[in-house]
Amino acid sequence: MSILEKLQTIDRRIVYLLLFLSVGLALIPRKPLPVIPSNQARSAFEAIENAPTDKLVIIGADWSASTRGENGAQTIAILHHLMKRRLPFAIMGFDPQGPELVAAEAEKLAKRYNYQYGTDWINWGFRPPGTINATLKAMVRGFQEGMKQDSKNIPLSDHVRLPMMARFKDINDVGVLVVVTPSQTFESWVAFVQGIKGTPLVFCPTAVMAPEAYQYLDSGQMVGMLTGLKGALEYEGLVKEPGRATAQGLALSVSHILIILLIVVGNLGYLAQKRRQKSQQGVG
Amino acid sequence: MLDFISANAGAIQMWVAVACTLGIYSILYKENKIYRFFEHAFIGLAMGWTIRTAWVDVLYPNFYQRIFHEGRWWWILALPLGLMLYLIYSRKYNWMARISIGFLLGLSAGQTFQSFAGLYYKQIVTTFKPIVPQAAEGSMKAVTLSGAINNLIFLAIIICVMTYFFFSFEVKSKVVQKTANTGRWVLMIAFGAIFGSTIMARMALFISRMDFLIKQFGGTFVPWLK
Amino acid sequence: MEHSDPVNSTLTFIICAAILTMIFRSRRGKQPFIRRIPGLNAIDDAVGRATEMGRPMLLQPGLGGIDVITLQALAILAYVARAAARFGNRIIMPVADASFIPVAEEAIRESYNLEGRVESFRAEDIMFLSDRQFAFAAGVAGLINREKVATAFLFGLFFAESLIMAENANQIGAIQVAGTPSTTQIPFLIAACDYVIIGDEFYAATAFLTREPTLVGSLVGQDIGKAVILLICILGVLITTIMGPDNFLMNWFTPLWWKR
Repeated sequence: MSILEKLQTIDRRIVYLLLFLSVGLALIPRKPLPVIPSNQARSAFEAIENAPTDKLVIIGADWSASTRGENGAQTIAILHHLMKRRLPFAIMGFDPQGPELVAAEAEKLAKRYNYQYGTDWINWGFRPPGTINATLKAMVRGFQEGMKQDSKNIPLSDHVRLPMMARFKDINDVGVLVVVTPSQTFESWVAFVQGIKGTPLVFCPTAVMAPEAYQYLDSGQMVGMLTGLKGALEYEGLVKEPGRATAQGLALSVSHILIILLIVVGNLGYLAQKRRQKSQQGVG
Repeated sequence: MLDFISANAGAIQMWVAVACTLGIYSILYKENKIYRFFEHAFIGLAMGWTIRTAWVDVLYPNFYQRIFHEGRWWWILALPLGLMLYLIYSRKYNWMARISIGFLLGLSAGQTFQSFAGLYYKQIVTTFKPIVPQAAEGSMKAVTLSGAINNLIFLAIIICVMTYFFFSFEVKSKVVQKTANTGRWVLMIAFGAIFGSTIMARMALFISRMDFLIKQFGGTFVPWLK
Repeated sequence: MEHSDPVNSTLTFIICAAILTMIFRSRRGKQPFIRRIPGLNAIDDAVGRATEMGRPMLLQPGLGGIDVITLQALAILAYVARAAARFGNRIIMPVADASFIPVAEEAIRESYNLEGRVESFRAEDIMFLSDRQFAFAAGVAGLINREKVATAFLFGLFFAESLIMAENANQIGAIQVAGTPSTTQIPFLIAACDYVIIGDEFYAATAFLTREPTLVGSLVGQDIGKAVILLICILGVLITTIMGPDNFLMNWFTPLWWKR
């Protein structure tokens, strides 16, 4: 077996070690890489930038701690933009951890942007995933009918404690939908909420889910998309709030370079093996 | 003891998180007892979390509170239908569970009609793209030569891929066979693109854990790592 | 429907009518043609390999519960279980939804029963691990490594956990056959598995293996529906090319909500 052929059978533990080292080292420098935002990230930014301030933004937070690496960074970047523009927003989700995680980030940022709970933002909380279609359909007709109360069990009809709910009644009062999810729940949002009034929908999937969404961008059912950590990185650049994604950008690029090199190396080994087999057959 | 834990909650949380992360990653070397311990701990924790969610986030606010705090006693009528689902574990009475399952399947099948229309009908319309250059008309943008070529490729791919997914026609024509084969090739190219995108997703999750290990954890001991 | 118009309703009606007609025709005994899916041949080879090695087989119905996709996956896995019963292989079937266990148990027991080997059926090998995605994946990865499965059959609804399971089985040298309608997971299954049934082939595979008239009929009906949609797309492109974007077909098919 030649050296080239051995490249095809590198011990996977060496690959893991290389990945640990390269990502670990790439996380240390603080200087961010220059970023050119993609069209879909720019469209997402423009949708929120142009949203009327007297309309509500709904954040569908259907993610959990396991995809925090991507969805967390996307959410924080979007929250910065919403609060900079003083857009009122509501958080809801069909994963029990989603609304809690987003609300925790919103509370941190609320102090900086002077956002008041119940006046500028609200957490409608978690709803069981099995009821997603029914809940969304009810919510479109009226928030009180669909959600009834917030995550602290305050009825949405209590306009003293939740004054913003006096202004926003149903889908007609929604300016933008932001759906952050690593799963297929976005289909319910498109079919049962976006499609009713053509409300602009910004989609923030994990990079795994992104390819499934391109046809919705093409058809206009989604106005913009943040593709995983890269999307978050682009959005942080657009809102000029470098954060977690910007800090991890170099590590992401380095890991991609390593994977590309490994693919090239593996294929060189494959070609060498193929050539040897061919020449052996020729001799035989 | 409790005082010590509450006073050092943050540090303990971090050490536990580090141990869990490294324990789970230890499978990358080989299957071992440490991984097995954390695997079982993870499954147990997830189970506990599920039970907590079922009560705190689902049953209490949507059922118990409605009936006992808000006095909507008629919500109790949903209980037999729900309880019937548990009869799935009885070999004698599992036919009763099928009533509830049938009810749920029927409900979701009904919603699928709206879902199908909402998701896909608009996409049918967006395939109506001109395949020759056209001037701007009304709200529609002009179609340039490159746009027209793009649209032609778009149409060809739709035809090829859909041909590949016909199962009930016996294909004897070589043209149709070649179209379906092209469809398979196009699918493979698309899968390659999806694969690339997913590598990014996996790396992002890995980087997030490494960020925790190096910057958050390592940074508490070596400040310049932060 | 909240966002439908007469044209879209008619299209829905045509698709449903085609599916129902073909189901009824099929039930009356008129078995239509279905082409064989190449990946299906691999199932028997994989079972044979597990028999030779004397090691268990992993049957994985994905993360779904009692839903259409998972029930179709169970039909394929029941076919595998029947072959396992015939050759005396042990099967291990971890599931992510506790309510799915009795359904799976019944189907697998029936497979053993059909081969006259019901005494070999081990109910404890159909087990619930967790309904949390990655906890479930960690559990399955552990099982694969401990039991050193010879083959793995991954059929059903998969998400990001698919690669964790497939990669672990690949590392221990298991033969893997997979099938899923989850488009985003197919690439990893292609990379890590030996044979993969892609997209709609998953439904065709169920119909082909079970020959259940309802499944066969609905598959043929769906083909008619797909053909109608393809025809509309081609017509739409031609008419838009000739008449411009403001044409009668575009106006017919543009739902009312889109015009608002």
